[in-house]
Amino acid sequence: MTAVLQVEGLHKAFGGVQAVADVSFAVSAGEMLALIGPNGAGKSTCFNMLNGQLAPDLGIVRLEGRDIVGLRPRAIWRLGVGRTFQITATFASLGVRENVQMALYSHAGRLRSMLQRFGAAFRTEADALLSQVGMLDQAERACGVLAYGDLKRVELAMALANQPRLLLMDEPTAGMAPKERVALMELTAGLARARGIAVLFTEHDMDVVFSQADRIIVLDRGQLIAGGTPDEVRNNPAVRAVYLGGTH
Amino acid sequence: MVGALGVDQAKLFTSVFFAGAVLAGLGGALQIPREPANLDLDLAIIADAFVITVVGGLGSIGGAFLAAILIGVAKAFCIGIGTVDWFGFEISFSKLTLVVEFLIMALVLVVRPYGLLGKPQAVQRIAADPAPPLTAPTWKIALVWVVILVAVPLVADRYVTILLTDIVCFALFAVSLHFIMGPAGMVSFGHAAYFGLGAYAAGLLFKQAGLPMEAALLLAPLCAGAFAIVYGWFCVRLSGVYLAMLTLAFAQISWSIVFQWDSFTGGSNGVFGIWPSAWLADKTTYYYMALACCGLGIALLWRVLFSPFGFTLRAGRDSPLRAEAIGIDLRGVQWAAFVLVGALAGLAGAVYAFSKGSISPSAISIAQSTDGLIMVLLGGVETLTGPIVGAAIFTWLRDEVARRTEFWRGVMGGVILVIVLLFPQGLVGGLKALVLRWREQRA
Repeated sequence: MTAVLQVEGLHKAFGGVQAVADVSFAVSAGEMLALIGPNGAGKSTCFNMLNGQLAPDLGIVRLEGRDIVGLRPRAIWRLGVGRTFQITATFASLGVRENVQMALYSHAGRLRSMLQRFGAAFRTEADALLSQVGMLDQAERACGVLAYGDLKRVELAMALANQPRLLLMDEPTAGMAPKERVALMELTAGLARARGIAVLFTEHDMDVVFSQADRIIVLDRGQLIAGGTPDEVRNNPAVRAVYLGGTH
Repeated sequence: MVGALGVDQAKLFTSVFFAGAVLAGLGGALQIPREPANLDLDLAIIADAFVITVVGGLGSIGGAFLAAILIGVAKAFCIGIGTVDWFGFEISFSKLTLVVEFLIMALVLVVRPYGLLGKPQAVQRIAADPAPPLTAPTWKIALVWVVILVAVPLVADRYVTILLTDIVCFALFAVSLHFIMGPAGMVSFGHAAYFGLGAYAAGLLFKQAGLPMEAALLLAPLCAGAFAIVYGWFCVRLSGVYLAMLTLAFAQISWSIVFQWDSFTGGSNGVFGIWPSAWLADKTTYYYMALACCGLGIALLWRVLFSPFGFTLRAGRDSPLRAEAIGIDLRGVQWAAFVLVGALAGLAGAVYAFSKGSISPSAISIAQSTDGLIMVLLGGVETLTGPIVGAAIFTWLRDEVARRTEFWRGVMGGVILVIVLLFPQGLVGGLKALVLRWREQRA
């Protein structure tokens, strides 16, 4: 398998605090990679360096061989990276279908038009994405009135709109009911495998992580301390010490 | 969060407000030897204050000190130099104090977008209720209104026609302001800048450049748009209340330049004798022309609102984070919106100028900007037709009240206060809610 995302020697310090130190990993097409670690381990910092919101002090981030360090989030999206946020970010005053259509229009470079009417194009594409995430029946509703779990699904549909090679999901199931969590990640895993999308996600729910991830990497105080299959990580004494067997 | 920690926010904010007011009052008292107390003091100082906070960096007291000294010294320097003869041109630096302030701000913001000592603004997640979805007015209703508006001069007298001309100008002005502050989510406290600049552009192109009236009317929106290109470039870099501050500062700077530049703009007297061409000299004909120009302007803005571009603006207002994450260059889109509404507000100003035959600096004043805000809020910011209703009622009310009493400003304020208290969502917003409730009760 070829690596879609390759991260080498990522460093980031805030003031005197080394938030991320020498982090390297890779994600392959169709693979679900979970990035876990206790609070403050540097997961979000790590994430924000991959999606362009933060500039690393040092290190290389390659997307299908291309260095994407220094690119803006919108440029990284254009290269085929979809994102979902820890706290959902959707367009609350627009309808569910319109939200997905926004992403599709943007992908096609058709958002500049001032005189066309929005909404006629990409209807079937939007509906196809919505039915994949099980939100087609709510396509006409405004995003502002949706339940939180449904918003997460809409976000997933939007993240898939540009036919991404890589999905970055920051705490995709935070704030959801336990049942919904596994369902959403099963859905994601199914889509990822079918389309050969590489998925990198952070997650607090260990049920989700150990049932859905192909591989897991563990971050503690800014450094990767372990990596491997769920079984390997589960039995890793270092992980048990800082994380699972927990001193907190 | 602060409330959860047991802090009484009402008390906290009131005391901060109190301390701020004390300091501002002290500043005012201390500067008395420089400039005696007068009614215009507030507007003169507010633009300076905004520019200094923006230059220094929002939230940075040290930055504000630094910026105040920098701008103060630069101004003093300009006045000290006085009039200089450069290559045969006489340049009066003492009249350039406002321009200098603007140039310093421009330079600082280019190099340091968050001001001298400021920090980047945190991405705000809006916790408030999302704006309701917009509904496009149907062709049928629009057509009915056009027929009514065309028919009115046939049955009404000259006075009504002139009042209606005013109303359609202000309607376009209010709709352009609503476009930028509602769907685009950028509150402008200085929207009169574009209205006034359009009016002045029309007047000056007509008087100083000697262009025919029709050409002046067509070029004026482009001039206003050109200013919006410059002002907007800075404004879209900020958001929320800071953006509003900057728009106000730009409006005030425009006003000051127009006011100070006697030889070109006529200073406080304004520009006189800007009358429409012979074929439009009749008030009724001019009203039809105004109706056509402003009606098309409003139709264009509404059309844009429902285009992919308009949806992008609404999306960017709802979630800048998500907009960026789906490849949208939000600043670019907002900048373009700024220019569009600037040009159309300029068109409203130009049509207004030719209807009055003269234009004075009050068209750019903060009072004019506030009038625009009142029109939009009176009608309801969450509705499309609200701004038009607001503009009509405000303009009509002002005219009625002004004819009847000397204290029209006070009476106007009182009436508006009552309306706003009765209909917090504006007249159209309130009516919509009433209709909805009535329907629910019947169902």
